[in-house]
Amino acid sequence: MADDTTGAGSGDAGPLDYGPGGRVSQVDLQLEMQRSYLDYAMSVIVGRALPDVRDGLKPVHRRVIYAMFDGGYRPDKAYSKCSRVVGDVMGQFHPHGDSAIYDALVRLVQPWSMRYPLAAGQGNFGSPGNDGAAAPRYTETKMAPLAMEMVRDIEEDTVDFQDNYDGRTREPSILPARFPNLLVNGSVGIAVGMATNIPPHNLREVASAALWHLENPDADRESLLEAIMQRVKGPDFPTGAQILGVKGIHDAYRTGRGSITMRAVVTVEEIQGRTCLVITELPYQVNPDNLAIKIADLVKEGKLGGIADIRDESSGRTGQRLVIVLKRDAVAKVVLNNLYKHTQLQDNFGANMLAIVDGVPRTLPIDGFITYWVTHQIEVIVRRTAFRLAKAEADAHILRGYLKALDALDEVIALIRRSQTTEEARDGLMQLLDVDELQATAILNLQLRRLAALERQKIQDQAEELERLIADYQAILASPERQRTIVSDELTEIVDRYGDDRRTEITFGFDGDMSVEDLIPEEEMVVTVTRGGYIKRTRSDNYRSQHRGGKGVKGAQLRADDVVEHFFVTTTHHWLLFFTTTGRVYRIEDVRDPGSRTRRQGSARGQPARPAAGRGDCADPRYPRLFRRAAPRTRDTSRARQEDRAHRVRHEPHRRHHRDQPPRGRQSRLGDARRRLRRHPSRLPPRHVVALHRRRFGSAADGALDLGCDRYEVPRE
Amino acid sequence: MITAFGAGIGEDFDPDKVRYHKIVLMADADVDGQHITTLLLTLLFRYMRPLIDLGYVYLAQPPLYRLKWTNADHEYVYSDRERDALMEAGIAAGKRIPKDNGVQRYKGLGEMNHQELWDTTMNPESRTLLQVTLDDAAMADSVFSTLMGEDVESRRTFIQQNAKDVRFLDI
Repeated sequence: MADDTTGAGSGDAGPLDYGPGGRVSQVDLQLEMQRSYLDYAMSVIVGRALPDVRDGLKPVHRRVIYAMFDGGYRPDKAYSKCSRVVGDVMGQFHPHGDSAIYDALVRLVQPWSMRYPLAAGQGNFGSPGNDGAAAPRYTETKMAPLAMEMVRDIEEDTVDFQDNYDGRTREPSILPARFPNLLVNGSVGIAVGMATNIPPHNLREVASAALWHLENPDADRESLLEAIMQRVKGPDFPTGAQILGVKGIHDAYRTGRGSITMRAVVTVEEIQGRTCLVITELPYQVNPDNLAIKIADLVKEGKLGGIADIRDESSGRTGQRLVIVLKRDAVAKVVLNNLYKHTQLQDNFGANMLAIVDGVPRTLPIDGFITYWVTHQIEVIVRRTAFRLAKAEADAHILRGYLKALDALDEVIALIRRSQTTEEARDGLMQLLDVDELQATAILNLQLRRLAALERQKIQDQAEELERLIADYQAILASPERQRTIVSDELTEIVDRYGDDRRTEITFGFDGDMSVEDLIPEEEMVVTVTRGGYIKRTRSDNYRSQHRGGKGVKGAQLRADDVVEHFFVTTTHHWLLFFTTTGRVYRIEDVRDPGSRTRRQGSARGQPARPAAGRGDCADPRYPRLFRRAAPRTRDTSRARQEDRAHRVRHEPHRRHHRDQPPRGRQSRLGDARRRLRRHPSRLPPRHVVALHRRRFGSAADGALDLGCDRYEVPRE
Repeated sequence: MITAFGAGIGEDFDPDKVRYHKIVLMADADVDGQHITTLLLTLLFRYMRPLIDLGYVYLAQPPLYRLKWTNADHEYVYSDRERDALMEAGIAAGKRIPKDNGVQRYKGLGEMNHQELWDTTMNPESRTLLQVTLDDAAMADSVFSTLMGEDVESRRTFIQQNAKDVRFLDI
């Protein structure tokens, strides 16, 4: 292949001479793409973005914690500059960008990111909003006390170590993780082709589930899952807030995937005479600054009503506190429901419980996380016990040598005194006492003062103590039950010290779905329908009670020769149904329209039920189409039509208003009447209309309803 | 790149105007470098396809490690496996490697001195280049769509099916 390096198809470019050393091989594009991409994808999946199921850490976090432990940045020491930690991590273990390492460290400190922070911070570590942490040269850090539990016993050969990236030092491939960190602190990660999103949980709840599993190791999967779900109520977010409904939680726990609805905690306060909504707890991972901006934008666009002002009063002293000042006539509950619907005040946590199991990414139900963690703990305990056993046996071995020497003290001293060299003394001792080299060397290293009688007793006691320990360690290694008890006891100890109460409240039985009724205030009102096809509504408090001599209130001002045909009281949460003589029913759900809120009854003439006469239909299908009648087009109707249109443009800016174009997909509902009218403009649509109202039942059909399948109440007239 | 190649992009690409007949992609020897290479190849394949058809595109091969033998010439290796093999062979042949800092890992091209980079990667006398060839355009097209397209599911399937082919994992 050598020298054949010029591109084909180039006419005048002569071949270049590369000499004998240059080599050019060929690689197929497709092969190179697949290979390189796969290498990248796999190392991101296994070695970067996803947590290990046993300790719940991604490599960068594991390295940060181990480097802090290894470098002596421990909880009982003074704080050290974050730059030092970042430098240690990068130089020894993590050959990647320093900013990525610092970001990971900062996250370990932030109490709103971590349910149980693993690093303690001194200085500005940012806010839940758009404030980042100060530069690493300003901030200081050390391990949080809980982080010591992640690395506890690591020096007793409890986990495997591997070479670091340049083979100069060694790093743990997993941490002992003496508490179930993955479920407790959760994890977020985006790899290639897959991602993980595990919510944080309460330490006490997860621990009690693990304890149950330790007590009932033989329980089958289904009963384990049941027991876990009884103990772990659901995620417990560091920011508190509420979880609506348990279905998403159960999905996530049973299958590894589920959508959990979170909702902010909002209180209604009276501040300087104004009603305010005060947001004190936000859903997990919602940025309060962006939320405030979003609300302000929605208010500006007119999509959210009833809000006069937004103030962010959050601070270190008050905690999260976003104040939304309401307009004087706004109904707090309705504004709040709209906020829930349109902003991250209510948000979903898309749980996707994926973790690395034995080097392979797997989506697990919750019992998988518990069992893998428990298995890991048993392994840690077994390895720790084996390590301690070996050490105790080595010590006991030396002590046995001491005891032999003390038994024959005079001969030993004589032997040492007559020996020319240390080696000779050692060999002599080995023969004299029948000890091995290790013991003989240890005897030679004995200090003279240990020959005192009392010291002898101490050595004796020590030897006995060691024998007892050895027996104990052997018993532990022989008994899986003992091992489980140890895991339980040590976990209980951790929970006693670090466990705390649940922060996130779970509301059962409500899934956060809201109907129209939740989004508009319920007001009592009077609906007036005239024979001439005009309809209007009036808030019933406009008909105030009158005293002696009152002139009364005029319910409607009518056009000439029109009469009020229907007059009834209902509320904005009821539907209006219009039955036509052709057997169709039309309905209005949101009874705020058509009508006028503010117009007093004295001048109210109502809106024409059909804005245009003789034009076929109106744009908005919510208007009862069959009210139309071919009235002569007068200046008045045209003005009424303009008003109506202006009203709709003002109040429903998101809808389409071109009068000749019904919104897409609605055409079919316009039905026969419309087509008939188009063909025969002279034929009048039915005029006899009965208006009824009813509570909303479970099933809802748009437009024409089948009269056979719904129940209706007679209006309260 | 468009300016440097001088041949336009996409529909307007004119292979006769290409100013260089050897375009060498040189990225770090680790997996992130490989990722960058795939991204660049995607750009070239989608928007400057004739470059690949005509065989103008090459991949440089920077080393991943240097073995600093004390009693022999330093050796450069291009993968973890090659490193282990060479280490074993070298030690068997009586070569010694310092305990401390005996194996240097080139995490990035920036870790090399200019002379090292010249010797290992750029010198036409001694370098190895990989010329990118296109054997089956239709297959290549579908590979690009799978790896770089919007369908996550097919990407995931590809990864799962091929996960056993991975030569090494860079952690």
